[in-house]
Amino acid sequence: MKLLKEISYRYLTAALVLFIISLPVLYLGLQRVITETVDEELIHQKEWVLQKLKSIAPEQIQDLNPNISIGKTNTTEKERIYSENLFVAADKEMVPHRVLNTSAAIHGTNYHISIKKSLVETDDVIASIMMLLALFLGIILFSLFYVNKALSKKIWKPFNQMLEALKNFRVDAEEEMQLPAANISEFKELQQSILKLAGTNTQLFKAQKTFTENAAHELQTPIAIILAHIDLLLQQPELNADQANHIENISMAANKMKRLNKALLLLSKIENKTYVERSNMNINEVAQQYIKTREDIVSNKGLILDLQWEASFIAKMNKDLAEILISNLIENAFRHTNNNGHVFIEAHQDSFIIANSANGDSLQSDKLFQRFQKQSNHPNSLGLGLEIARQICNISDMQLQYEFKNNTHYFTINKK
Amino acid sequence: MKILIVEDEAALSSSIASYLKQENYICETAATYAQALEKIDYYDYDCLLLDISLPDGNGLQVLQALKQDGKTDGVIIISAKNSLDDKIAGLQLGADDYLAKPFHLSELSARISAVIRRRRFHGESKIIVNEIEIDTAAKTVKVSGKPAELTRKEYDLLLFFMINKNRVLSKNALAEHISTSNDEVFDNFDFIYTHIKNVKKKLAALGAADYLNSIYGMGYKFEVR
Repeated sequence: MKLLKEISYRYLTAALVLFIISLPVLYLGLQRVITETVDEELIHQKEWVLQKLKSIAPEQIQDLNPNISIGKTNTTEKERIYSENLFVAADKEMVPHRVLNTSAAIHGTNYHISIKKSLVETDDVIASIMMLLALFLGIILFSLFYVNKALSKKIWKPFNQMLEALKNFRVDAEEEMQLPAANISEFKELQQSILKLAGTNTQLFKAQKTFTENAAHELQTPIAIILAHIDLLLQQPELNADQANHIENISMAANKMKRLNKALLLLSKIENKTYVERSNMNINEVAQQYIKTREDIVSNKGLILDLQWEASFIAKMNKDLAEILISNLIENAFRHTNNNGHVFIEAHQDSFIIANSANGDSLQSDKLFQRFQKQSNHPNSLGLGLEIARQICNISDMQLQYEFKNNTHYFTINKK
Repeated sequence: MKILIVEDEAALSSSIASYLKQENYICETAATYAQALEKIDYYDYDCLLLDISLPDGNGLQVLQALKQDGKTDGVIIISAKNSLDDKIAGLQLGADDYLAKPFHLSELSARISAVIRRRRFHGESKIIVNEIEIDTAAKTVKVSGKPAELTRKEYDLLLFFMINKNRVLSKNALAEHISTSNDEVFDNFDFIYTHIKNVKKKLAALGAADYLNSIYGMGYKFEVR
């Protein structure tokens, strides 16, 4: 659930509960206040009756106010006020009343005095007040709900922007992360933490990239020395087969190291965006040229080439990278196809497909484009070729996809 | 023929010198920018091997100084950087070739030979070993005057062998020499064997002696006694 929705729902629920609880409390409170007022009135009236009884007859008082009844009595009664439903003839229904009963001795005569007061009006007042209160409370609650929602939206805006920036953050991005200005101190702290974290990560990533490139560079000279001395060792006139075997093994390992180092250097150069110059490359021509140089392997392995140049695949990319990409993919196809296997190359306007007949199962596509994930156990395989191809596609606004169907490996370059 | 090796790694420059001396080149070495400047001031060389990163300067500056003095020495840049910018800058400054470290000495030797041929004989140079004659300008091979029909790669291989004659060339050096520059994957070295077999067959058909020998399976040698 979204944060703003969650806040609104919680607010609304709490408000409704409060609202529901507060209405009866209000009602009871109001009733009590009004009853007290009525009671006070009754007591006032009683005082008035007692005063009047000293000078005029009880009947006269009863005539003045039909709610007062006075009778003679022998007993003394404790004064008490209570609620009672009484029948009102005019309305033909039971009506709640407040009744005061008391007795008093005036000029030696003991009187029983009963004063009643209808609560119909006060109940109406309470009902009206409750209605109004409920209405106002409701209006206030709902307007607060919307005010709150709008406010939250505004207050949380920097948060959402930071979230968006984090989502789009790439550790290898060139430009620095941009975050909106925040006035709220928590957001400010969050913003600073994010910027710091992103900055450190970017720096570490850069340092690692430079390290890889530097390490590969620094290795070139020692490897060059090893290779040069191997070449000299080879020239020794007195070599025997055993020594030659040792030299051969060293030579193979040193040459593999050399190729590995070159591949790593190439990768870090691609990642460091060394190859910036781009032009419109006709990939068909690049592929045709490459195939021409590999006619020997094609005839040696008896490969059957199926080339379909439906349209020119033109890619805006670096010339050297285009050649590396195409030679990597085509060479892979040539290399991994069994003798007398098929290699298909299909060029369309916005896709370029290189496919070869497989000699087994699908490759593990999740690991395929990762470094050093060799899917062949060939000793000369470096496990960097497809990673290089993918990186080249990435920086050239293209996509490299792998698919396995009909016992055929398909590598497809798509324009993004 | 004189060659100046400008390279700060002693182990590398000595091995280069050692290899080239056997090819009858006279080699001198300079380990610093200052030494290199001094040497090119005093002497003329047929070819300079120039490392770009020197402890006290840049190899490209040596190249600049050379061109300012109007010298016509051939120049091959050997760099560990393998950076395109250096390559372009070097070639624009008038270097003849660019070879990225690490390289095979046989490859370097072939490049030097090409530079010298181009400079000295304006490309019109013939390489002759007994009955075999290579015309490097026309890119043709003749055996006792009869033309041999070699493919491009077979021609490249034969030329490589004849320039490095009496040298053991490793399979890696051979494979790299005839591969396209970006092609770094070698499935196996069978194709080298196939090419060499074809060259031998074609030369033998024209009556050439068998000069190409395998050395313990680690490489081949064009042996001339």
